Amino acid sequence: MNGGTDINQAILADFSKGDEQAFRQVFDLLFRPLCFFAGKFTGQKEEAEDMAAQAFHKLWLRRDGFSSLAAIRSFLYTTVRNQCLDLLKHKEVVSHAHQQLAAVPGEADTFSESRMMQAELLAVIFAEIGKLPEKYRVVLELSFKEELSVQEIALRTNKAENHVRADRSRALALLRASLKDKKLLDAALALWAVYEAGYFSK
Amino acid sequence: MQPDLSFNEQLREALRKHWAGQPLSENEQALLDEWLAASPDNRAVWEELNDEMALELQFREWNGYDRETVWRKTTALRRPAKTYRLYRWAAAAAAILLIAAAAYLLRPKSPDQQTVAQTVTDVAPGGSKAVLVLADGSTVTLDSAGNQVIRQGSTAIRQQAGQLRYEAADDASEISYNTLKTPRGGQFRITLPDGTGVWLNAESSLRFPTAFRGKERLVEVSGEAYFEVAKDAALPFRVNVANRATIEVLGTNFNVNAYEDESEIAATLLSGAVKVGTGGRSALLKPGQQARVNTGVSVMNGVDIEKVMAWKNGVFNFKDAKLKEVMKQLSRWYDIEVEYRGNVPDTEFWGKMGRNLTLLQVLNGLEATGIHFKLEDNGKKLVVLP
Repeated sequence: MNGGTDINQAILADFSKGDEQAFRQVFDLLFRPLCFFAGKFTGQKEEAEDMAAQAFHKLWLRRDGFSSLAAIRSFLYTTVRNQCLDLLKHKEVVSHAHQQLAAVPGEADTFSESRMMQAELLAVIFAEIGKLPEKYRVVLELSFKEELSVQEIALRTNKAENHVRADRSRALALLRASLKDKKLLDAALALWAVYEAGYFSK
Repeated sequence: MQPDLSFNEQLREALRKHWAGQPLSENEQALLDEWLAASPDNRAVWEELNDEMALELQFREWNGYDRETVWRKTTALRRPAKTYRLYRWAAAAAAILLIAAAAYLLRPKSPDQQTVAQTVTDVAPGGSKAVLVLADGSTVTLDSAGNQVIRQGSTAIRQQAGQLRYEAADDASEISYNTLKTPRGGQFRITLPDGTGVWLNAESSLRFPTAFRGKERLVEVSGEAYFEVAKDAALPFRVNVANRATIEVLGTNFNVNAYEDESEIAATLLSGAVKVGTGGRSALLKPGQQARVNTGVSVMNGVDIEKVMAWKNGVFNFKDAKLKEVMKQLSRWYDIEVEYRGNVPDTEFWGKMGRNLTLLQVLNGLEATGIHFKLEDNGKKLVVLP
């Protein structure tokens, strides 16, 4: 999971001077939202990756022309969108996006804008998972990342199935809570620990 | 072309807050309302974010994008930019040379001189593919694109993409047997008339009756399959594994690996209880245990379930796997023949890779261990070199 959703000015300066490490940091920050965004057009993973890779390559070629992360982001999303629209135009790709775009001509723009916002919002939300307490993070990652069923997780974590189920919905709730208020989260966790220890009758 | 896309950070902050149930300022509320009203696309996105199932799918899609894969694709586009300054006469001379070379290369050849064009080939990963053999011996080819209902007497068989579902026949007509076979590079999922789910890995087969009647539910399997057996205490479920072992089940999840080129059968129990037997000997398994069958049955504890189940979850898990084991898996999934040339050490591997990668992408990853690979025969043969 990539951490933050921002990058500092010094890294941007290094990037514009052609520093490979800095480019990698920009890449790390934006490749997932960008692939996800491209995937909404292509409906296909490999093509989405190709589209994102091409956009990053173009970014690298023009690296001296960007003064802010906002400018880089705008360039990358715009480039991916244009490439994807070209791809869809030149190829009969039967995909969700294609059908949507074909159904409402001229409205491709609101589609791109919504999906860009979705990608960026998911980046913020998913970055939080890495910060959840171990117990919940493990359950979320096992079920989300590795597509394990509750049964399989129970087996691997040596827990009862309904425990895993409870942990999972708890983890989702915590994910929301952690975005809401850090203090509240700590309080909830403390209370949960007490509950787990059996001070309340179950 | 449409105008550039710009990103509104304030709006994202308002959406994030609202998603997390945090109170919004007047300004933020206005931003949000305006955004929601602006287009049906926005509302669709918002709904996807607030539905737990949809969010889970987005998370999987998100994590399916691998950092190294995309980075490799990005840097691969970076070729050293060479500029050729050619004088006109040089260009003309080169053109003449090219024509001469073409004439030489394209000259008619005697058959034994013919060479195959050496192009870089890659092999696509396997996918949902299978053949269903019906009771009368006729076959139906199944792939990921199919959506159909196959009628066989009073039984309806529904195919939906990579899945097949049997619906129990309601009358007491005679029982017939069907066989689902996956080729190399194929996998398929089937739901039997009793609700039992079976995932078939590549180069495997499952023979089963179109209705379960009598005292037990008996199926035959070869290759590799994962079973989620529907509970029915009155009708025990029994698996005949390649005529070399039987597994008796009540209601349970287990994986069985019985490829012919493996020295032993491995049956791994995820939950419930099964009895694995061969030639009069048998062993009762507890969840997390694996039975290995060759002449007798031995039980292993502390099995790496994640590794056993990797294929069903769409990944190769090469943790502690020897070179030959890795190559067997690749040969089944990419339908390639493997040849070892020279003194190749039996290296141990580690790590996980998606089964949706192309062969070259997987090999790229494996080359980090110092083993080298070469694709020959138009992508049909993989040569392993030290």
